[in-house]
Amino acid sequence: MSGQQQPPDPGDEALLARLRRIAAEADPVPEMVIQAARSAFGLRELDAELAELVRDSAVDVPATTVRGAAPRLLSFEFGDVAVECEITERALRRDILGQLVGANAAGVAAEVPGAAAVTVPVDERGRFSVRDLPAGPVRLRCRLADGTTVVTSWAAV
Amino acid sequence: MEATTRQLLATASAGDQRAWDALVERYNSLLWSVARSHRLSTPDAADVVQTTWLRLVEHLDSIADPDRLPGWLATTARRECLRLLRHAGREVQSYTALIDVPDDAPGLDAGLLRDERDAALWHALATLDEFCQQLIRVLMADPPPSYAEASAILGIPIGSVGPSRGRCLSKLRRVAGISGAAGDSVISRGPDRAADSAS
Repeated sequence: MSGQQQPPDPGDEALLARLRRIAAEADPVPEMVIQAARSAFGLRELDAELAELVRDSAVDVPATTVRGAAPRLLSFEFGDVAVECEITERALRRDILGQLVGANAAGVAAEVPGAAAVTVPVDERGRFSVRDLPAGPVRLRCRLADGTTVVTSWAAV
Repeated sequence: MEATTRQLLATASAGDQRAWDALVERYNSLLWSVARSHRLSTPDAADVVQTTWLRLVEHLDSIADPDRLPGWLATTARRECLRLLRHAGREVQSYTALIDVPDDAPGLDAGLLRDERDAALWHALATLDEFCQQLIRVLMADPPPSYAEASAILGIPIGSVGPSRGRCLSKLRRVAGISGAAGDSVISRGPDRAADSAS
C-alpha cells in the first residue's frame, strides 16, 4: 500500500462518467430541491442572534434507548438564552412544545421555508406551543423583552 | 474565468443571490449524492439537502476556511442523514444487512433506465458496501469533487482516495459483470468487508 497518488485510470474515469450519465437519467436532483436550495438564501437573517442546536435526542441519546414513542428533544443556545423544544410527530405534521429560558420572551414565531411565520403566545414562564407544522425544516424566532431577537438554527423535524 | 468557491462565498456573503445560485449549482448534486448514498427516500433526501443549505445561509459569514466548504456541506448533510436514520429507528450499524433485502430505495430505480446494461450497473452500485457506495456516489457528483474535496467529504486521507476509488470501482465491475476495463487486473482484490468501519 503506497500512499502516493497515481494518475487516474482512464477506465475508471470512463466508468465514473458513465455512472454520472446514468445518475442524471435515473436519479437527477429534483427541480423542487434546486429551487429550495436557491431560495434558502432569501431566508438569511442578518438582524438576529443565532441560537445553535446544542442537543438533539435523535442523535445524542444512545441507540439502545427505545425510540418512536418518546418525543424528540431539541436544545438551542445563544449565550445564556436557551430554547428547549419537544417535538411530537403525527404522520407528516409536527407539534412543538417549547420553553425559552434565561430571558423574558415577548413573542415567538415559527418559520418554515416558503410559508408565512406563525406567531404564538408565550406565557410568563416562557412556554409556548406550535401546532400542526409540516414535517421538514423549521426555526423559531424569539423576540426578547429587551428588544433582542434570537433565531434558532434550522432543524428538520 | 470561473469564480473560486472562496470568491463565491465572499460575494454571497455580501448579499449576492447569483453567487449563492452558483454555489448551489456547484454543490447541490454532491449533497444529493450524499443523501442518496444513505438510501434516503426523495422527501427525506430533499429535507436533508434543504436543511444543509439553510445551515450554510446561517453560517455564511462564519465559514472559517472556504476551501473546506465542500467538506463542511457534506458533513452537515451526513449528520442530517444519520439523524433521520436513527430517529426513524433504522439501525445504521446494520446498514450492510439491508443490501440483500429487495428494496424500494428510491434513486436506485433501475426501471427508469432504457439501457439494460446501465440498469445492471446502477443496480450493482446499490449492492456495494456502504463505504464504496458513498465513495462512488460522491465521486459521481456533477461537477465531480477534487480528491482533496472527496477526502474532506468522506473523512479519509487524501492519499487513500485514489486507491479506494480503484478498489471500489473494481468491485463494482465485478458485481456488474463488466470485464476488460483497463487497470482492472492490477488492482488488488481485498476482502469485501474491509471498509465496513466507515460508520
